[in-house]
Amino acid sequence: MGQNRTVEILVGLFMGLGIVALLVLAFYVGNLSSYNNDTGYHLEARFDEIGGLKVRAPVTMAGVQIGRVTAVYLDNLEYRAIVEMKIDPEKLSLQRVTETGEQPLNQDGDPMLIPCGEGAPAGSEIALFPECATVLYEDAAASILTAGMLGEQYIGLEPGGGAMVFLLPGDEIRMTQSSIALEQVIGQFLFNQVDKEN
Amino acid sequence: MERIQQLLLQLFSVFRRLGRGQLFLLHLLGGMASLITRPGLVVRQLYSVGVHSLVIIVVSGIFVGMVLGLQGYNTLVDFGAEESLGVLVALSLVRELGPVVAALLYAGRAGSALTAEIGLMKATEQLSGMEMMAVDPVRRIVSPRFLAGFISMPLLAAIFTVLGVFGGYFVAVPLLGVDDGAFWSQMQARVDFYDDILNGIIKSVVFGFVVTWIALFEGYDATPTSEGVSRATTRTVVHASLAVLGFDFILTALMFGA
Amino acid sequence: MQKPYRQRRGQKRRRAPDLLVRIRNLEFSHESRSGEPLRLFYGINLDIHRGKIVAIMGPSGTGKTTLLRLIGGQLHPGSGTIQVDGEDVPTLDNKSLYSLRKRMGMLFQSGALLTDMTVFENVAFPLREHTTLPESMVRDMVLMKLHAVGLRGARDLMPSELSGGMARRVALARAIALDPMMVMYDEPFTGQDPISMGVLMKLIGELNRTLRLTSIIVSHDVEETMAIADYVYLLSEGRVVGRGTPQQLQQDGSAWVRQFVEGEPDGPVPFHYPAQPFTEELLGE
Repeated sequence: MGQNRTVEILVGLFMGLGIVALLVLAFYVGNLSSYNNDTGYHLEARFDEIGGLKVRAPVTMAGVQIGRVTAVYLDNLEYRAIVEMKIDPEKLSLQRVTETGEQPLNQDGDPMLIPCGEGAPAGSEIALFPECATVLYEDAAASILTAGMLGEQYIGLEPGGGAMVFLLPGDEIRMTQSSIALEQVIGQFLFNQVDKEN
Repeated sequence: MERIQQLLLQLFSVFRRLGRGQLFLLHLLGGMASLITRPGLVVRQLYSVGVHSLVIIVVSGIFVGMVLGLQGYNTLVDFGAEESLGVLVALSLVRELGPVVAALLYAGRAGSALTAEIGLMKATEQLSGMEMMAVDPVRRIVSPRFLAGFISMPLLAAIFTVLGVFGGYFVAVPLLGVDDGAFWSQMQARVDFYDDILNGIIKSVVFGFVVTWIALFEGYDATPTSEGVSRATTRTVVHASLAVLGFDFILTALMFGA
Repeated sequence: MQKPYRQRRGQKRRRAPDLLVRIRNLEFSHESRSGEPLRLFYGINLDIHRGKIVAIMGPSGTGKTTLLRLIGGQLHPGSGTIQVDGEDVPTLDNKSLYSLRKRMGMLFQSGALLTDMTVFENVAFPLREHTTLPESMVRDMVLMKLHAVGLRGARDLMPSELSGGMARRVALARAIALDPMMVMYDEPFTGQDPISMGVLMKLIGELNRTLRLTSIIVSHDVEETMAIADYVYLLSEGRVVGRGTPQQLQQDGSAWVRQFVEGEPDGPVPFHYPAQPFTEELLGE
């Protein structure tokens, strides 16, 4: 019986070790943890050139990852690349805006953030837009950036601020900057050097 | 003329063996259902198949990872991309080396032991004795071993892979001075759960199935003499290894190919 | 001690002297490694009565063990019938074959003990596989069987720690664990020292009597087998060449039977394996 118990304990340890290894593979080595937030809202953007941008490339703002690219395809009318991305609302939240799509203001005239799902604060008489909007302004910009010289490509978002109106989920980000091909940069640099010397 | 005839005969015997192997597989799969009521049988086999293979898997995993780290560093440092070492180590282990090397080690360690055990049981009339006691030896002896092998292989491959990654980490970060954060973050960004890890796990499941099947069949089909058992054991290692490499190519082509 | 007359009569009636095993026109051929069939039996007829110890004897290589396997349904005959307890063995489906086997015990030449279990677990094996008895009852039954073969004290040994004779006795305890109607002994005396030979002979006889078994002994040890058998069949070259009680056989006039029973080196079974004449071979062609 004693021997039996050792066998059972060792087998249990083995199974446990194996399952831990599978979990480490899934969550620590791999990126399964980035899959579980399937709730997110979409945005899209058109680029003249996306370079090496791939599906599941990260979408960042100020260096913080806020979402992933979900689809890349070609607009057959304009010959531009359409990039769809999904943004995690926990990282870049949704908010309520006024009927004109602007930031609601409090009594003092300061802008305030009403999270999606809540109503206007008691006492104020702001008429809110029925749907939730993003916290990105209409003139938000998306650019394709490269991590390091040879690293992978990702999308960087900037919130904008020149416009008063916010983007709704599913809207297109109009201001875009395409990926910069290294060959072009080097080419331009050499060209300028030659120009200077002349 | 005689040579052609001999060739044909040989071909027939190959097909016959294949057919016997299939029937054997069906038979042992038929015995799976009855194992639900007797998990103790499987636990005992998990011990001899899984736990006994653990040492070789652990040691080999760490060393393979360390070698990958060293070799990868030497190549990547020329491009100034040594931060990608984590990606290199993890991807090569997760996709290929983990499942394949673990399966080869498993075939050598557990597969040959299974063949020898069952072959000897046959040679010493233990299987026939069971039959005469109205106990189906395939269900009683073979099925639990098959299930144990089928469960163990993916776990062993996962342990191998994880230890390999840590072996690579040990060489890269403390010894070669690769940045700690870059090692992990690049790895996590580039190793995809579905494309890489799940496919690796599928590979190891397939290998576990094939290697255990071959090992058990070779033992069960062995000529019941000492020479027959030793031949069967050799055949297990050779055939199982070839099968692993062959299936690896097919699976890689299916998963990562165009 | 004799049983009262009435009880004995009742027993007699219940166990009428019918046939337990009935073999008719049995033909069987082996497939050799090269794929050619090797004929082993040419139409064998054999009857085994209930309650008897029947010996099947013959030189090595005549297929005595094969005959046991045919009776046990492990091999399929080419033609002919094998009936055990009224059931035609070759035509049985797996389920009824297995339920028939539960009523047969077989003692293999090597013992065929399961090497990864103790003596106790080996004897308990059939009980655990076929019954759902509580552990205490399994224990009692195993100890009973082990006591019957005189090895109750060896229950915690592993099969590798047993001598050949002990291993065979453990195997015997296991063969009778399910209280079968018959036990088949495959070469029970081969390779035994005189003491364990004596022990085995006593056991076979005693068990047959006390458990009301039918015993089939396959052997080529003439003296020992003749001593305990009620009836003997002699097999040679695929045929039954002699049959009768041991006394009848010893008085039998046939040359072959006399050679086998007396153990003479030359006779109907020649000393030399068939070959071309020696002088021809020496002088070359």
